[in-house]
Amino acid sequence: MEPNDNNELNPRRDFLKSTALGIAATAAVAACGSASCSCKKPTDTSGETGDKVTLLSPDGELVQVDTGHLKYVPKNVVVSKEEARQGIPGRKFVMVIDLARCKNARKCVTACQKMHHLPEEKEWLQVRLMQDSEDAAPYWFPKTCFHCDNPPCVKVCPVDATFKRQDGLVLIDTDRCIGCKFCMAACPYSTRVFNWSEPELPEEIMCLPYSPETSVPSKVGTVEKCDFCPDMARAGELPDCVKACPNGVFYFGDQNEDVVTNGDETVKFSDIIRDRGGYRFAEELGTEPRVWYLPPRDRLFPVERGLENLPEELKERYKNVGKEG
Amino acid sequence: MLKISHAGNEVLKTFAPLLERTRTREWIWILFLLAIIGWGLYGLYLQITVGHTVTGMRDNVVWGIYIANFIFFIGISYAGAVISGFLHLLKVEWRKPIIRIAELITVIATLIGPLFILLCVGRLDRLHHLVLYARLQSPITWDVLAISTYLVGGLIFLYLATIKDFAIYRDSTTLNYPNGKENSLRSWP
Repeated sequence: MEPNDNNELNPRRDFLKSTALGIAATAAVAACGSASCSCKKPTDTSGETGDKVTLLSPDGELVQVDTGHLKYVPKNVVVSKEEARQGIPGRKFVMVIDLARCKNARKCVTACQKMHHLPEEKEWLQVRLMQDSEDAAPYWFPKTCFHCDNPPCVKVCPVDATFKRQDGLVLIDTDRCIGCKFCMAACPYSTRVFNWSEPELPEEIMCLPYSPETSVPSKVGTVEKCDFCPDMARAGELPDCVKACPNGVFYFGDQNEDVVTNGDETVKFSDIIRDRGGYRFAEELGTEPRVWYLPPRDRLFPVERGLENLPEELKERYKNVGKEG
Repeated sequence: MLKISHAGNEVLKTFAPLLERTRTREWIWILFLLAIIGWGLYGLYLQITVGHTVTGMRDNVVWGIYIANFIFFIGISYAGAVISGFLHLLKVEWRKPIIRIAELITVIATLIGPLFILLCVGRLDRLHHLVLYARLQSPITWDVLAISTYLVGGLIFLYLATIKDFAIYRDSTTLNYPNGKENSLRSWP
């Protein structure tokens, strides 16, 4: 092909230019489709809105304060991305779930949703009704992410958005996730959920500083899951599901210190596993989960207690498990 | 300049009428296909603005027709590449048209397949992460590497296989090109 003069009209160059412009415009529109472009600086506390709230001052007086002067402060310190990938040194988090005590109160589910600002349909912690075989007795089965030691989700992520830390947790960096959903296909426990549409959150939540440890706010087109609340662990507190359970079903602790606690009781992890026959769910899959279950023996409640006071659409989920055996 | 026989020119005239002029029938067909493409673009617009909920996929079925179509078209492209590759090893005269067709199939399928995968990705504005933060252990990275290599290779082979065809068009004596067409064909390849 002959080289083109710079003087004469070059249709090929014009075509390439307009295509590049078109792609750039589409990319800009697509990027601004997410809410990232609408976060203003959240620290503007000088305005007056006219609404007043009553607060108790440190001296014991009740004062009226305009809501424009209030600032939403996130509960926990947000660490840098590098620290979030390293993990809390010296810890090896482990959870023990006591199936003998669970009555499907679902306080754990609602507490987790409240803490992470999730809508009702999105459950990072799911309570299933399990029946191991036809004649076996059904039991309630709360299922968190198991933070496996051999995680299939981490193996398949193309951009290293989900990673395994030295304290045993598997977290997701939703600033890097491209939403290919391979991790969801790889997880044998169906524990990951996807943001199929833009989450409807108030602006103060959308503009919160994000770290993989807080997992707030949710972003459209990314994957998320239970994270064992490492931001609470850094503050020395138990995850909200452990605190919210009325029957002490969840024990959370550290395998290095060999201790787990459910808020009321503190036991040695190796003792409780040995004495009460702790096992891991679907051990044969080879994922080495970090959540142990205590079998439903000497139950606190009959399994039917879990179906009382349940809204109809939730009861629908469990209608196939059964008592017809 | 190639010397093209009378019979060859007849074949050209029968099979390349569009090079000479475009009739109403072709315009109607083009408009119809554009309408179907427009329908698809409207669906794409819905998916971008409303979100991936319009696809009907949910947490328990995370991959649907997008992935299925992607695999289907990549399979077609493999078929084209295998046939073309195998025929390159043989030294028979009749392999040339088949190689041409196989390469064309390969390239077109390799262009359509990734298009479907791009529709399935949740965050298209982060596609560059696949290059910046690529994890070689992931099958998706293998996909990206394999298909981009594949596309480049297929295009090269297609070009090599069709050089002679362009020369035949350029040197045919019976086709009446409209103004300008003949000039641009003269500068091929």
